[in-house]
Amino acid sequence: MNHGRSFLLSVAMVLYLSANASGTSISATVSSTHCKLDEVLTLRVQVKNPTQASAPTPPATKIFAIRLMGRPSHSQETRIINGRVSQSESYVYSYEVRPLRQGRFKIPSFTLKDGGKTYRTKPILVNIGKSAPRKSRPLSCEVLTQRDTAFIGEPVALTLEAWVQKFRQRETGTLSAQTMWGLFDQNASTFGVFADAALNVPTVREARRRDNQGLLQEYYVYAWNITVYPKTPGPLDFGEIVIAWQYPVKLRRSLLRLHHEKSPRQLRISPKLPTLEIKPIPLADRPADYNGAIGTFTISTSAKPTQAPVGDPITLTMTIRSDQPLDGLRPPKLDQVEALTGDFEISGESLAGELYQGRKVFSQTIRALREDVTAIPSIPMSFFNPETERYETTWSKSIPVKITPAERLALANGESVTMTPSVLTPLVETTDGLRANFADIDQMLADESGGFGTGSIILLGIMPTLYVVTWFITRRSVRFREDVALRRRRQAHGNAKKRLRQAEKLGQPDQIYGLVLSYVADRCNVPAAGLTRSDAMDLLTDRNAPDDLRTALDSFLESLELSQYAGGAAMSRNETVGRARNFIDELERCDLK
Amino acid sequence: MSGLWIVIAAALFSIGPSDVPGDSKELMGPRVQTRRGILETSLKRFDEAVAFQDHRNPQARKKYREALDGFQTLIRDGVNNGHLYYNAANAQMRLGDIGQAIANYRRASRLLPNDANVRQNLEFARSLCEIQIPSPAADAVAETLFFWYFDTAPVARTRVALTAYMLCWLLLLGRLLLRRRFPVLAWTAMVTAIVALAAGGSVAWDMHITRNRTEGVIIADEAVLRKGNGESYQPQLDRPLPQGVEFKILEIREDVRANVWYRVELRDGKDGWLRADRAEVI
Repeated sequence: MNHGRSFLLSVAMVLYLSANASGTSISATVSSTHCKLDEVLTLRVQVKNPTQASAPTPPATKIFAIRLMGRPSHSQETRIINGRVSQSESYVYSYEVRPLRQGRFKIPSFTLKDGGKTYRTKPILVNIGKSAPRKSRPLSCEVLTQRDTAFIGEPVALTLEAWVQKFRQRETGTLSAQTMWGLFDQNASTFGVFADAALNVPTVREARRRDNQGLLQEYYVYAWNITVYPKTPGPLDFGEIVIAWQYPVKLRRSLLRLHHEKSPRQLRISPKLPTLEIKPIPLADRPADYNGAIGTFTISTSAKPTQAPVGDPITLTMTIRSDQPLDGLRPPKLDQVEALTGDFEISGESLAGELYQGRKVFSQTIRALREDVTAIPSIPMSFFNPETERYETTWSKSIPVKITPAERLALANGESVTMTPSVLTPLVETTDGLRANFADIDQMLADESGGFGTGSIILLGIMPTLYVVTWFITRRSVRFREDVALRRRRQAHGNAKKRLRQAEKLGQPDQIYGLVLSYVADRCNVPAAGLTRSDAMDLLTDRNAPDDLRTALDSFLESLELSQYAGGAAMSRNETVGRARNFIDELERCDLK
Repeated sequence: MSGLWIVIAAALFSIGPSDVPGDSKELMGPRVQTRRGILETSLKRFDEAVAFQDHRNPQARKKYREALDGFQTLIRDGVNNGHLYYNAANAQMRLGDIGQAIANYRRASRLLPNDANVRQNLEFARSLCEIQIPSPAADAVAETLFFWYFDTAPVARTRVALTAYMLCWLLLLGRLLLRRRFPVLAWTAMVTAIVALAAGGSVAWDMHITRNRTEGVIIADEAVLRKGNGESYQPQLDRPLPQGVEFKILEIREDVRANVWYRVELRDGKDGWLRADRAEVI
């Protein structure tokens, strides 16, 4: 019997071990078995080889608040032993466990249903000590406000302060505010009504206060500031605010970085909340034009244009100033201003307004109804003053305007009709707000300054130079054209040479004779026809031609006469032409004036 | 001969201010590319900031600041462009710097006098100034008489001046070269000469104004106008001037601490002394 029992036990063990070698399992470990009420524990649940990845179910307990932190980490492992391949995978889920009571308690089991079976972790015993007195805690926080009552819609300034005790260690010194801020656990913190402000980095200052034992402690105070506009009466709901910090226990420095040598304390704290009672705004004595403004305000107005025909649009700009935030401020109710609606038509557009530092600007289109309208009346701005707890009204100054008669249309039947807004309603551009940027990059990179560059200066100089040069040239040619004597003198040599060339080919002595006399006539500006040899000589004498040249020319011409008329010895044609050319050339060199 | 001169004149006529050697884009190729990159990034940052809708959002303000830095880098690098000043002013408006925005809108309107966007945004910026000082009537008269100066861009007037100048000389050349006298040529030449003088004179005046800048705007949140050039002088007005108030500079002096002071005249004629670091010269 003993052998049989032993055999069965062995078989059961083998089966159990082999099942667990590749089967699903779940286990839990906790970061520490001791913590205080203002700290949290990190509990990790490891699930091995699940058939599907689903998170274990935390236990229902009134002792601990358990929250899953982020996504699980996942790992896979492959083993090859003696040629056998085995694979396993595991998921590790991290939970934040915040104790709610002091004492010794067990963290109940986490359960996992997988593949039709239920797996449980073992309960874990932890000791929860009481937290340090508020003033002695390394982390504390509070919400501050200047007031204990406010009205619905009234802006209320709130500040959330987190006091973090400075951490000192001999090896690392005192951690800076920036380093401490790096230990802030954003993911584990909730900010309630401060949620929007938490997106920004808080302001930080240093402060000191005495703890419960009277010792002066130094803190970094991180502060977030917001303005809320309560919407419902009663105590203000701040929402769930939990500040989480990983407060160091022991650090070591390696090169330029600090490392936690011991696991940091996971601190969680909810702030001490002030009592802020929200009261409804009274209905009694509420002005008709009240638009929900709470605080103190001033209003100023301007109009453009201040002169327009009846029915034409006038842009009324209302600027409201206050030291209160103006984000939610609505425009004044102009339709409640009788003095305005009696003289002007107000367009029904809803106004968003433009917000600038310390003021909000609304623009409204109005149209005069009659020609006798002389001013845009004062515009009231009613508001509820929480300090006096009464409604007050401030007024803008009236704006003088000049309204001219409307344009009249002539109809086909001879009658006319006034162009009133009910007949024609043109689209009107608003004048407030900024127009869009210019986006043509090439055009934006071009130099538009104008001015005269180097090229322009060159151009400025070239044109008058051109003109002057052209003037000189044309003046010369005009003079040449109009002065006959000059023209004959300048052309005489050329003409004579041309005729000489012709004479060289075919010439008779009389041609040479006439050619020379013509040359003399051109040089002296006398008619060539009828000019005799003696006339030519007289002309040359009058113009101070050299005597020897004149004598030689006279002989030459005489010889030509003799050969022509008296049958004297004739020179050869070439000799005649050559001598004539020489005489002409020599006379050309003389200044016959 | 006359035909040759006409050909030369036509070749010269084709030269305009943008064709002058030294200003061509090819010579500045790599530099234009870097400027283009900066401008593209700045425009993109501005659009990203606008997408936040609330321009007081810290992230939106950061993007507006980045866009403005890009525009100002190009301005400092020598790009003198009306649209660039306009975009820089828009970014400054979003950041709440009304005074600096007005200064840049004024610079833009000097280069783009007919641009409706510049005009409207400048008017809007001026409407946000906490003190409204109306323009004197004399300014309105001058703007009506010299509408051709106030309504045209300096680049356009430069081109008109050069074109009229060349046309005038060509007409005079034509008179010289033509045998017959045409009185119309002389009259036309005279008219073009007047146009060239007027347009060229206006451009020269612009260059003089730019070199001797005489207008400014307050950019500090508050600036006290004093009776003299020093902090010890009494205030001239019953309250400080807010940013956005525009003025003419009449005189410049230093005090004993080497601070520069401007003697300024406001639009309504009041004058006083203003510390230079409270204002920006346009």
